[in-house]
Amino acid sequence: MPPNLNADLERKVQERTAELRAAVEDLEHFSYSITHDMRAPLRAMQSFATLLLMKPKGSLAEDEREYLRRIATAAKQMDDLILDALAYSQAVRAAAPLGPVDPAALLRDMLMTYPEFQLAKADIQIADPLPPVVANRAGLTQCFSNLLRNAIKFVAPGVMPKVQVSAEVQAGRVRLWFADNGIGIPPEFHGRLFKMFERASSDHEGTGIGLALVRKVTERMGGQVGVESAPGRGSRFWIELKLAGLPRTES
Amino acid sequence: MNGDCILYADDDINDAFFMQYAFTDAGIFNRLQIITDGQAAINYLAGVGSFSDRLRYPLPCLALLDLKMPRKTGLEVLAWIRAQPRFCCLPVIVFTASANPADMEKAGRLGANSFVVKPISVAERSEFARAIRAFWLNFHCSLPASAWPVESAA
Repeated sequence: MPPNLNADLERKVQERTAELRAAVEDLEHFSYSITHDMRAPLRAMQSFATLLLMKPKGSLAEDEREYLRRIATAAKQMDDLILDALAYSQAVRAAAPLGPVDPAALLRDMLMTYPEFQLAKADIQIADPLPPVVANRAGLTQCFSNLLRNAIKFVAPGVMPKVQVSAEVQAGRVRLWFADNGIGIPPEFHGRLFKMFERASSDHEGTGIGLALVRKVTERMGGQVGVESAPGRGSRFWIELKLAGLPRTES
Repeated sequence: MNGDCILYADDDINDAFFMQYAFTDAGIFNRLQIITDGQAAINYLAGVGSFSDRLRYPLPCLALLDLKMPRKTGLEVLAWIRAQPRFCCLPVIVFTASANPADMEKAGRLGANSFVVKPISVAERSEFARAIRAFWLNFHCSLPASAWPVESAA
């Protein structure tokens, strides 16, 4: 290659890199502003509605109370949406170094520390030990917590949620299964489940971002996600990652 | 209980209103001095202009600083506070909308005593106010004004 062409290419690469860096900085600034400025009015709406609801009984008609509850709920929903959307954009951008992770140990830690995964609220069984996977610890935690939360949330009324986590190893890859006793999902929804803002049920609260986040994070760790499910027969979500070599002592 | 006033700098008047509500709910009777931008917070502490009237604008025993404010940010106010010898021991709580790691690090380096993400609900806000009352107004020992370091001659 002639030397001037080479230098030309070098300069172009540098220019593009600078542009990209500026774009990323813009985006960071944008999400920072969203967190700070867009959430404030929602906090105000939610809180003023709550303050009115705290007025003594009799000072508001029942339908007035109901409208206030709806205002508060809607503001809370929008706030959840913003937080989930931010988590998603963070997952897309943040550096996520990969290394060997022991999924069973990670899950055990989560069961101990997350109040909603305690035995009184859900029965979560882990087929210990699980094979080590190539992942990012924070990313995998995000995936597991979303999958477990979904499994616990989507049960028929009065049913104690049960989740079983197991693994399958094939051709150097580990498929981690999360099988639940939930309401199940009709097959026609399976393709849309992992897309942004898609929700299969309107009976349960949600932002429609959780599973999109799981997919995005898993893909960034070189993996894949999927589901097998039918109404009334529970769901079996899976994430598949590379099998890690012999588990080393983690630093 | 320490009865001096509490300085709260925040440009969001709703948040200021809720904080006043939560403080009253928590049985905090210290006057809450609400300041709506960073430069005004510095002027207040420095006693510039009408703020020199210390009967109306007494020095606080605690400062709550929002980060994103007009004119001067909360971090700039914090840096100014720590550069003043007499405010070396003034407890400062950074009180902001998100646990941004970069902000947390800067606040820590500049000498914030605590970093708190603004509670969203009325109930959580009251709990925060009760915690302030229990810790900063009761257990915490503040340096008496008579023991304040003398300003170094500029």
